[in-house]
Order: sequence, then C-alpha cells, then structure tokens
Amino acid sequence: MADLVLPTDGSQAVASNRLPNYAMVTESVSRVTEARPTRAWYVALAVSVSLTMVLFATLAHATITGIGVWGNNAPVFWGWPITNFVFWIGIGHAGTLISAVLFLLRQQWRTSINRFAEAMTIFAVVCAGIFPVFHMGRVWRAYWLLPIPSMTSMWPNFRSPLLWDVFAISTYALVSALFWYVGLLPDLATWRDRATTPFRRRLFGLLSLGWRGSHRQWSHYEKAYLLLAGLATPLVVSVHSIVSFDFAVSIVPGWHSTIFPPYFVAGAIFSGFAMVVTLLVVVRRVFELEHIVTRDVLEKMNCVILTTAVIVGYAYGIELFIAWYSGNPYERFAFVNRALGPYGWAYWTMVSCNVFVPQLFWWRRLRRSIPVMLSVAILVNVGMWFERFVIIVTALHRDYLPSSWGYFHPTVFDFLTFIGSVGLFFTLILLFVRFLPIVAMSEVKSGMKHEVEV
Amino acid sequence: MSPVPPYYGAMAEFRSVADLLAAVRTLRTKGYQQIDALSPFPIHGLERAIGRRNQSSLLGWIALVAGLTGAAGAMWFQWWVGVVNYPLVIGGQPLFAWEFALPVTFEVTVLVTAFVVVGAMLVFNGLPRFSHPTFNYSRSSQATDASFVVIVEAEDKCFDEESTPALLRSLGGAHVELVHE
Repeated sequence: MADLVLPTDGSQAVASNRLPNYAMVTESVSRVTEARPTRAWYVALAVSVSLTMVLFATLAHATITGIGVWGNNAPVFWGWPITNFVFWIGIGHAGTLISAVLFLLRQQWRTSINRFAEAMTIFAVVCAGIFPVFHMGRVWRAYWLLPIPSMTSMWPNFRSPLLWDVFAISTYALVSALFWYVGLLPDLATWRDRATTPFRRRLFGLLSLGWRGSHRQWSHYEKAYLLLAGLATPLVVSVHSIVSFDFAVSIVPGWHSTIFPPYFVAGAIFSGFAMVVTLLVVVRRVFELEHIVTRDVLEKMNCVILTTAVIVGYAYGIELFIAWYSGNPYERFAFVNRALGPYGWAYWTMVSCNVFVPQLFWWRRLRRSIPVMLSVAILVNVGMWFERFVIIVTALHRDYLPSSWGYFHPTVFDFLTFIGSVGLFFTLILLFVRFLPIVAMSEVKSGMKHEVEV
Repeated sequence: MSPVPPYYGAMAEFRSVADLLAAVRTLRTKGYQQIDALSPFPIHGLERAIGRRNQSSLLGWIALVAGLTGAAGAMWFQWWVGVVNYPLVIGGQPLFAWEFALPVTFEVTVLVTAFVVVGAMLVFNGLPRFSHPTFNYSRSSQATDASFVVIVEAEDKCFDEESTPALLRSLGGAHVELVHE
C-alpha cells in the first residue's frame, strides 16, 4: 500500500487533511487482535515456537552435559554466549530510548512506535538474560548471584563488574516491564470498554485495574509517567555502560579502554533502532497500520540509525588511533591483529555493515525506501552481532602469552542456541502482536490536533 | 442535606476537546466546584479550566524520598557486607570504598523509585478499583475511545437534580444523565 498519509510536521501521526478521528485510531489498532489470526501468523508462530523448542533442548543439553558443548575453550572462554548476551541487551535499548528519552524531548512521532519498541525491549532482555545464566554452567545455583548469603554466609563481590551487571540487567528488566505496563493501562481500559465477549471484558477489566480515564487519574498518571521516563533515561545509559565495564574494567588489551561506555551505548541504540525498523516494516504492512506508523516515522528512525552509525564509526576509528598514539605495544598489537589477523574477515564484516552500509541514509530517497531500509536494518543487525563477536573473540584469542594463543571454533550447539534465542524473541513478539495493543492508542490520540471537530 | 447523596453526579457527553473545555469553563463561572471529566487521553488545559490545584505534585516528593532511601540503603548494605558482616581483604584493598559501590547503588535507587512512584500513582488514583459510579453512565465506555464526558459531582453545593442536567444540556452535552452511586 502506498503512503496515503504525509503529515506536514512531526507533531501529527495522522493525515493533515483528515479530521482528528480518534475512533479510527482505536479501530485500526484493535482490529489487529480482534480479527481472526491469519494463516501467515500461524506459520510464523509455528516456526518460532519450534526454534524455541530447539533453544530449550540445547540449553538442557548444555546444562546436563556441561557448557563444553559450546565452543568456549582456552583462550576464548566467553565465546558466543556472551556475544549473544551483549547483542540482545543492546537490541533492547531502542525501546527505552524511544519511550523515555524521546518522551522527555517531546518527540511526538514516537507515539506510534513506542509500545512496540518497549515490548521488544522486554523480549530482548529475556533473551539476553538466558546467556550469562547458562554460561555459568550450574544454572541451579544462579541464585548465588543475588545478594543473599547463600553458602557459608558469603556474599557476592560488590567490586566485580559482573555483579554490577546482575543489578543493572535485573533493574532494567523490571523497570522496563513496569514502564510498559503503566503505558498499557489506558489502552487496556479501551479494550475492556469495547469488548464483545464477557471473557475479554473481564480479562481487560482486571488488567486495566479499573482505569476510568478521569481527569484526576490522568493528572497523577502523567506525573508518574514523566517521573518514570526521567528514571528510565539514566537507567538505559547505565545498563550498557555497566555491560561495557565487564570488558573495560579488565586489563585485556582491546578491552581496557575508557571509550567503551559511550561506544557501547551508541552501539546499543544503533542496533536497537535497526531491529525496530526491521520488525515495524513488516508489522505495519501485515496489519495495515501504514497510516499510523507512517513513512515519516520510519525516516526519522533511519536518521537516528545514520547518526549512531557515524558515532560507532568514530569509535572504531578512535580505537585504532589510540592503539597507535598510546605507544602501548600490547594495545597496538591487539588492534592490528583485530583488523589484519585471523579474524580480519569478522572485523571488516562489522565495519562494512555498521559504518559503510548506513551511509546510504544520507540520501532522502533511500532512507524513505522500504526495501532499502529493511536491507540496511538487517545488515546493521548482522554487523552489530559481529561487533560483539570481534570485541570478545579477537581480544581473547591472542593476549599476553603467545603460548596460549588459539582460534575459536563454534560448535553446532552455539548455532542452535543462538537461532533458538531468535525463535524465542519472535515467539514473544508474535504473541504480543496477537494479544495486546501494539500501538499506544491514548498517546497517538493525545498527539493529534484537537481543534477540528470529529 | 442528606449525608449520602442519592446521586453520584450528572454526566454529559461532548464531542470534542474544545466543547469539553468550553463546557467546563461555563460550569465554573456558574459556581460549580466539583467537576471531573473522562477522556481517552490527558487534556492539557483542563487543570486550569477545572481550577483544581495539582495534587500530583506530591508524587515528585515521594519519588525523591524513595530515591534517597534506595540510595542510602544500597550504599549502607554494601558497606555492612564488606566491613561488618564478612570482612574479607582482597589484594590488600580497603574493605569498603564508595566508588565501587556506585553502580549497584544507582541501580537500586532507580528500581526502588520506579516501583514506589507507580505504587503511589495507583494509590492516589484509587486503583485497582473495579466498580465505580461512572461505569453506571450509559456512555462511559465511549470515553476510553473517542468522546469526552463532563461530570458534575453531587457533592457540589450548586448541584441540583433539575437545573444541573438542564445546564449541561444547554451547553451542548449529549446523553445527559443523573448517575447513581
């Protein structure tokens, strides 16, 4: 379907030549779940659930046999599990950025995509959480990570970035879920009120907690939402900074660098926006939401992708510069080896996908083209996975002791676990688009021009 | 005046934000105080039109107290673990330093504040509450979709079973009803 709708400015999610048809917004969004699911949805769900089963099976195998089933071995002990962890947690950051940071910056265009992006955040964090927990090897003792005196009254080491990570990720998961649910309240009430079956009315009645939309409720609600946005903004920055501390606080050449926190945060936003674009391009088409998730919105997303691509490219450049300028032979070796050593292929895949490909978005026609943006977004996702792979594997495979150098070989279980986590992610996304409002209806309505009568 | 009013209030439906605001302003000039509204999204400017002080400013203070409590609690806990409960010298380092405790302190602060803010918002809004007089209004389900409802509560000293509905009707309100408790 062509873009029927070309809003004149970013303040409007709906066509300027149309009346502010609030009911149309409710109708377009609710239709998605009220209609019977299509065959395509069932097929997609079947594939995703099958892959999720693969994930569960490989995790069971890795638990029962031991994590030696993965390719992690001396000298690369982190391998794919930690690559996947950082990859997924980075994807999540776009959701919080869109819902919190763009809210504080009064970017109205976010309203059509924030709900979806927030849901994506939660699902990505679910996928991310699996990897470090299973990578520990003895999952049944995962509670040792928590500050409870689990054995011989010992506490976890609060000096360790790995423990900071536990706090950062669990806080991020809980606060993101809370933010998402608070945003859902008014929309759940809308669905309660338009329910045609007693089951739906009771279900959404319970979930909406009896929301009425009275003026008094809205004023408390808006204040709480503003405070949550204010809390989520530093939180999202802290989470990926702390993830980068896992690397930067160590003394491994290629990791021990002060650029890591901002570089990781920019990379996270970059990969997350690419994932949002990848998914939304499909979702808006399948569910006919092109008039709400307009091409203008996608173009703005692509502008963010371009900006963060430049920042990420700058970080790659400055890493090389500092490796030379610091005069540290280990640092210099790490980066020469990264770009020209046995993992050169991975390094240049990363640079091509993350720095060169997004430059296409300098052209307005290309950043408004659906096939171009879909291809670029997918390549950025590939590139960002490789970025984490390059950081982890190239730094570890040749460090101070040449006697312990090696080359990392993933096993089939590495592939299956990663593909399985993608399956889990898509299962959750497919269930979400089926059962909950995928666009924040109240926020879209609130952003429409109100002067004209219905 | 009876201790329990037989009515919750008079309710009327309006078709646009502008109509709603105009109606509320007129009600205020006629001396009504206890006015509320139902709408599918927050309406800015309604606060002033209704003339009610923003009670939710309290949420900011609650957030501040929750944040300070979370921060102090997390910092104290890490100190207590390292210095009092299980002192352990690692690499000759001091038992506690606030610098390494900052990341955990920050995360706990955000976590505590977020949950307290949402909890306080629900308490202020009287939620969860699954039954409310406004649900007795025949058009209340439209107010989460596309229409705007004005409520004049029966507690209002100007409220009258005859004249209040008549006034709402004259302001252009549709489906004017007296709604029972």
